[in-house]
Amino acid sequence: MRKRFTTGFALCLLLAVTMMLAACGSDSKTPSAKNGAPDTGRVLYERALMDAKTFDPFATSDITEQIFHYQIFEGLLYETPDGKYEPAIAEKYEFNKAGDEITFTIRKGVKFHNGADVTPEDVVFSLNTAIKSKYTTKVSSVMKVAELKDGKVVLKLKYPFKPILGCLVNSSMSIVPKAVYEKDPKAFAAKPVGSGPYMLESTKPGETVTFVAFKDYWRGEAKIKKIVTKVIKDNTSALMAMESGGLQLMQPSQDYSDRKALKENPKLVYYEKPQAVFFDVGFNTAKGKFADKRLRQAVAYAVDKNDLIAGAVNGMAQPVEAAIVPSVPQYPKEFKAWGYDLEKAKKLMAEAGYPDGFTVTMRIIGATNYTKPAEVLQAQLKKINIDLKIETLERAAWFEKVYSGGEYEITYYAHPISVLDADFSTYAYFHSSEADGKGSNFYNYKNPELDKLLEAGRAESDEKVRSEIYKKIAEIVRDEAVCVPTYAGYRTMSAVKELKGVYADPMNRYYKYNYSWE
Amino acid sequence: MLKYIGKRFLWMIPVLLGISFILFSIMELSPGDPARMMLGDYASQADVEALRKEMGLNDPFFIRYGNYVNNILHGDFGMSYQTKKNCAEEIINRFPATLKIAGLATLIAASIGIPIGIVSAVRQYSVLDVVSVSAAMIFTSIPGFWLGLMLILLFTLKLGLLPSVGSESWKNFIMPALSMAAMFTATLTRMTRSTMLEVIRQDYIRTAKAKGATQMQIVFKHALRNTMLPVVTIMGIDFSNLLGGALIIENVFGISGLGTLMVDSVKSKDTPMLVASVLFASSVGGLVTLLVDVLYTYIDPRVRMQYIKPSK
Repeated sequence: MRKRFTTGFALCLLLAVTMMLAACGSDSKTPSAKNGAPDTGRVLYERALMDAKTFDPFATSDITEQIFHYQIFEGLLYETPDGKYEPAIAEKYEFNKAGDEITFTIRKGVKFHNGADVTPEDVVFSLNTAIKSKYTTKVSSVMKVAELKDGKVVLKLKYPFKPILGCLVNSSMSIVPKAVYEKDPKAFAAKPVGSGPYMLESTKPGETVTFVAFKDYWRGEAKIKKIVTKVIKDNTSALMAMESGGLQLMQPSQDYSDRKALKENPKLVYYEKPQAVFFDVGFNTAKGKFADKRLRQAVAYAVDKNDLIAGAVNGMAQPVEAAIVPSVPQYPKEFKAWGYDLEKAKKLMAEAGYPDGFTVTMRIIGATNYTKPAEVLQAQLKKINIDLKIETLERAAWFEKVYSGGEYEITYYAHPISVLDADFSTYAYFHSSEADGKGSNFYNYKNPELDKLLEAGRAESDEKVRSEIYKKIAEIVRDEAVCVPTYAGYRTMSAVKELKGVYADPMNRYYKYNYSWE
Repeated sequence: MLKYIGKRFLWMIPVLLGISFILFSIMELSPGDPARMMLGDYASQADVEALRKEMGLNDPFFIRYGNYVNNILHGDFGMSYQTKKNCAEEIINRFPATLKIAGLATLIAASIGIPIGIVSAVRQYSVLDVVSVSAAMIFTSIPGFWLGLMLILLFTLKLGLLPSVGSESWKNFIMPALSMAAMFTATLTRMTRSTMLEVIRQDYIRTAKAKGATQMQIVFKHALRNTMLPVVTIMGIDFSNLLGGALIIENVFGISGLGTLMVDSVKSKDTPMLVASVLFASSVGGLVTLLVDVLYTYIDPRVRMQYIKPSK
């Protein structure tokens, strides 16, 4: 009896030890951290919130995934940290007179990671694959086709479109080797071949993505030879890893105390820039109480932006006057919104037949980005007797009901853009063709005069004229109170002092080729 | 015995089918469109519709579920909507991390919890008993993630001994395992103590004492085996739970295990990945329970006798 008992226990122990050994032995070759802090000599350890589910640039529209793609791939053009578009794979480009065709001369001597030359055929193939992809619509919908002509690449547009260069710097328009991609797109998505400054060395799903510098990169090998991106979902853990030296670069979370801790750390440098998005109070202008312009205007007068910024984001934002993302070059700098005026707000409420106010539900996404400002707005609108009931929805449900379904009266939402141009901040949100669930005009606002201006803005090539057009657009949106722009937050970045070339980018677009160790 | 094990395996089939059906239904009823999630918030409705068609999401629920079950029966767990990779492959990639933490946590809990429980019972009301019972109470109440953060503060920030995130080396698993083992150890201590207290008051223990058996003989020869039944049961249940993934601990320590995979799948409405990972966790849980049942027969001869045919 005792023997059996002992045998049983011995078996269990053996099983447990075997499992442990089998499990622990698998990746002992991975370079290990020294005392919790990795060697900072040449390797850069940075944090990501998520890893890339795919390395196929034509199969995602997620900006957090695209951060990885910007290191591996390159497009015809690239964007400098100060927002200018410089030639990359294209040596030069030329618009035709009508403005609906661009001819690119492809740079000679650019190589893919597999050693093959980047050819005009690869460029034509890549552009056409991007145009056909469902994931790239936001930047490629205006493109018709790419063709080869006398050794050059001609990109034909559906109509003259001024912000086209901004579309071409997006990683969705990356250039890939035709032969490798065509052979097996699925294999390509796991083992990508680009012409960018970094090659993908390895991935550990959900944990790390490792890049190594590409020696034959046409602008010269990157100064930082290896980058290890660690996926850390928990903000506190990421902060501790940064403070302990386990990371040298991270995007701080939205949390005020996290940002403060990083800002005040003497070993770190904190970078900040307004992000390419603004938050606004949005109305369903087609039905419900806010179909009445006067009530929308009343809300616009009742919102105190400075108070909202202090209460909702601890002052970490700047007020937005016009309904255009402030980082775009066409933003009307002198433009003024109506401002905070409770008397005017109450008067408009009375004119609309609600002198004693009313109760209305604000449907928002259940995340602190939206719930905190909604609570402040609740208090502010109480002053004009609007009793705001806040209903939080799961993100997907919000998109289904509010964004596409139009089942709401008032909401609070971010107004993001994919290209730093006023067209991307206005056309999709205010043109009538984008209303009724067809696009981003979830305000369901339709105005033929505004439509004409929006169409003129994207076709016009003179930047001065364009700026004037967008000023007029902002005036209409303000006077009609389609939405109430409130504030724009900041894109931030924290890095160790010895890491140079770091910046905060409004679009969350980072080329790590610019980084170097001091 | 083999017949019993075979029966238990057969029973797992309807259980797993039931789980898959419930999960499929919940995912169907929950808001959100996987096609829109894949294409991004601002994709056009036409693109979303085209992708839905491509993914077969427009087929009726029962046809999709039937196809899924049919594929599983043929060994195909489907492709993840998000990563477009084979679900089984993804699970196999993630499972070692979870197994390492769960295995280490169980070893720590068993090697600390059981001996302390025994000593506490044998020396009831002693200083050691009071200390261990109080410690067990404290560790039962401490949330694992908080303990994890405190361990990072101490071992990474103050002492610089252990890495706080990742799973590159064995050192990475010490703090997550300790965080998970804390509550587990406390439960085992309390369970071992209370069962041991019950057992050492039995008549046969008194008889052993009367026969002049030493304290060691009484504890290890007569009492321990009878104490082990409920203790092994608790260990099996807790180990299965840990294998199912410990999301918060995985998040705190930046370890990518089954728990993170499941929650990410729910968030992105990745039904094939969610169902496959839950089925995998359930199967492992079922196997561990079966292993515990088999262990009973080694620990307790009365249980073993149930499986032995009486000789004619």
